[in-house]
Amino acid sequence: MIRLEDVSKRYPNGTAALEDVDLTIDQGDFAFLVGSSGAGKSTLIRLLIREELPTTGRVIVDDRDVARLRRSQIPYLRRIIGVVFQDFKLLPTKTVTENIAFALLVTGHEGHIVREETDRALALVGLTHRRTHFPRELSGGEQQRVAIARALVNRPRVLIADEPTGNLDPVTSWEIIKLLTRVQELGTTLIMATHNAEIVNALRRRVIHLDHGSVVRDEREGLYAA
Amino acid sequence: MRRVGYVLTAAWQGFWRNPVMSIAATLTVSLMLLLFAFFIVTDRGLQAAVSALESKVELVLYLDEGARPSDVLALKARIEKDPAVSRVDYVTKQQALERLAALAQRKDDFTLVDIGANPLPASLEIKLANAQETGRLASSLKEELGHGVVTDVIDNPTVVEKLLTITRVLSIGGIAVLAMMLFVALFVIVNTIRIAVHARRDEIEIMQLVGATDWFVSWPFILEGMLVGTFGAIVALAVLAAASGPVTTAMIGFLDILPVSLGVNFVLELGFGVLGFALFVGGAGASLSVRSQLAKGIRA
Repeated sequence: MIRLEDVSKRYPNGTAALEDVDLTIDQGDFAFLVGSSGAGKSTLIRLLIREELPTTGRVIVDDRDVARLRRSQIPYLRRIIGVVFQDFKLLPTKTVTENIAFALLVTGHEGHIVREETDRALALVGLTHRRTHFPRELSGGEQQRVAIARALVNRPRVLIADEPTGNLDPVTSWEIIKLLTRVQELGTTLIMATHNAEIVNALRRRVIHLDHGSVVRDEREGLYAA
Repeated sequence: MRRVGYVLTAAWQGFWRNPVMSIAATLTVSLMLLLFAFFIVTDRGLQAAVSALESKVELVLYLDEGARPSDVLALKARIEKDPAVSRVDYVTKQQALERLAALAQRKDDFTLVDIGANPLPASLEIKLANAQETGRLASSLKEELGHGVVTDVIDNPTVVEKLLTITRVLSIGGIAVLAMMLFVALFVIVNTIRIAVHARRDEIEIMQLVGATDWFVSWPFILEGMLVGTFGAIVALAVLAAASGPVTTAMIGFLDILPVSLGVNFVLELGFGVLGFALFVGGAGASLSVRSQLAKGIRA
């Protein structure tokens, strides 16, 4: 599903964000990206959705060489990748339903599909009863669930979560992790960048450890620290 | 259909989200369009005036009383061969006097007292096909002076020359002022849309993130710019329509006998010209300002 071949990323200011990264993540996998801040986790995510280009090497997502995509093809790459962020990135002037439906509307779906798929995503994250609320009326955990619903509503093949529990208390964090795990069990590839050792250690999933831009550890059923 | 509906709604909402800015932009655009229309109308009017005057331009050769008719006819034939000449009329002494009498009857402040002998000379009146050739023809005809046929060459091209100069100056000046106004209008539209784009940068970021095409992201803004242009055109055309009556009256008063008539076709042409120009300026300005934001979400 996802393959990085000899990928390096050097920013114009000289910072080497990634160095010679080789990585394969299969369809349906669950992988944690761990490492200190500045280790290259966010850069790796940005390369996958083509917010950045690799300096050298190839990034392959769903058999597409991401760097070689024409600009007009990039939106179609992004439709197979859902992304969830630490700061949720919800639109404050739109209700829960509107925030989720937005992802379908702007990708040109018909009205009945927008309604059906939005309802399905709302039910999946357990927020049907909050559908008419605005983000400011929701708790942090609920807001993150809305963000997850929006990421999933296009039925992506990959879900990338960048520190999804970074702003949440431990109990709420576990709710979000349970939700994401369920999504992965339904067949979506899940890549989660996190600093939350407790969660990584409890789940015992694949752990990809980045340090100064290099993969220093890649273990099946790994722990947060070696 | 759904996409078109979404884009239209987003453009309409975008226009009214910041009404002060949108209306300010609209008024700037309408001011530019008014100038644009003003220059088109003036240019057309002057062109009509020039061609009307051109058709009146003529050279007159006063003929010697003793000139032989065969020499006069030979000269007439020679002049007629010149491609810049449209026709040559021979006016006898008698005809010249009759014309003067007719003129005297029309004008109250002009009386012909009884004159015994006819003092007016016979003449050749030369109508020109091309007013710009007047000078050349006049100087070549002046060579006929002193050969016993032509006594004087009367040319009066100064009015046309002045008018041609005015037209040239107005065209160049008009284009310069228009270019400046175009720049100002583009600048205002670019900034208005840039503010709209900036206010919605989170929305644009999310649109790009979930896989909206550039088309889908930018068209609401481009249409919003075109909406500014359209409203600007409506305001400008309304002002023009209201002003056209008095201005036409004043113009006819000013230009007096000139048959400057700008028919229905011209009004339609002007309306569509102004609207088309407005749509172009609005769309192009908006497209410029949304492009920079689009580039942020995708490294190309």
